Amino acid sequence: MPAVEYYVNLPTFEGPFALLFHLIEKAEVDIYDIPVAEITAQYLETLQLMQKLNLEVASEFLVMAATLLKIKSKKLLPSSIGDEALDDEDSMDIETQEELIQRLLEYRHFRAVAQELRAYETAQKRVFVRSLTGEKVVLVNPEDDFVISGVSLPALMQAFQRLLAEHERQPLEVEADDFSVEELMVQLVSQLQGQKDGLSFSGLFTETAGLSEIILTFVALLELVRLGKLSVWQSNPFGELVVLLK
Amino acid sequence: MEIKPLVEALLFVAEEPLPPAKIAEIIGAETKDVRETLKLLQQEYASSEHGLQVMEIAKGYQFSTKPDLSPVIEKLFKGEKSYTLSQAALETLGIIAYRQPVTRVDIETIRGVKVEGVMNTLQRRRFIRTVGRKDAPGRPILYGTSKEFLKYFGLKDLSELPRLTDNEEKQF
Repeated sequence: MPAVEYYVNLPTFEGPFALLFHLIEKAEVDIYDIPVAEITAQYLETLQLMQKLNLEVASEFLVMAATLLKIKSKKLLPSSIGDEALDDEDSMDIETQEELIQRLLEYRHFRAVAQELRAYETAQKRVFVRSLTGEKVVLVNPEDDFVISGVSLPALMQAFQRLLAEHERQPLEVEADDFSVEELMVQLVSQLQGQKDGLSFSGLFTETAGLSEIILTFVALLELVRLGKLSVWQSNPFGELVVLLK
Repeated sequence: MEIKPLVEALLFVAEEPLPPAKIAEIIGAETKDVRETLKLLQQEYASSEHGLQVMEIAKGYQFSTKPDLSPVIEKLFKGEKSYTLSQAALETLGIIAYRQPVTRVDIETIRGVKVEGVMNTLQRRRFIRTVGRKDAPGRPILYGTSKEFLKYFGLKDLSELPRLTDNEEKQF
């Protein structure tokens, strides 16, 4: 039986502090009196779970794991040797449990602030003002360190792979590689000009497009997005990508 | 000349919240009188006969629709994309709003994660802006919130930010 079953409800965490909070809340313990050993064990378990699920575990999570282990070890060692023996650079500047609590409290505070701001945002979404530009806010997943608004990098890669797979099914043809990224950038822009609603990602390519043309067009697309000339949208997680001229 | 029609007309055509001083300058009146007129208009439009309200926002005044009419107005914009900020963006904005001017590293210390991506997006949406450089090694950039930030959250000014509870305030 696959062991995946009970992983289903693993939420995603904004960062190590968010994960720690989740564990502390789940354990129903006082934040001022965290059972470090227990929480550390659970923290490491969750990281393993994330890795098993092939979720990318950001380095910050690992640094926090090291920090927790250090705090735990310090509690076990006589205080005289504890400090120097365990001194290292990469530990979020958290040395003691007190410091950890301090940082957790500070993070908790701003999480509460974020919640308040969410309420303000919701209230403000109910009032409408005149707008000639009609600009909408596009922050779907800003954690993706990428200049494409409204769509994540994995979604874009998925679309690209889908396109390549479709291409594979077509008869092979030999053609000269007479495309340059610069040319294709110009071509893309002219293709999109006058397309008020944009074009679908797959619609950017002709059916007979060669592999090199597809790849170079994709590179040209990314380059234009990077330069802020294009934006890419996605209406739902697996939906078709729409490319728009900015 | 009665200034009320002028103030009302300016509010109607303006796309941005109008500060009372600017209205006063345009119509050649005292700022004090403009403020009084704005309050008067606010009261008049508050009546249920009107679908509009005079909103005080981002250090100015602006016409907007009344919140309870939103279900109907949303029908007009049906199908248009509307987005909300991510949790990461809200946390980051919260830190910048309360702690400004702050450096990126300050924010990363509090959130425990890298914030470069979020910051880029927030800056592109003009919710935050650079306000100078810190007098420290590397002269890191200092960030603060913008007028867009106030507008997005419907705040008159930064003093309207959510208050900390007593329990939390003790920590700082």
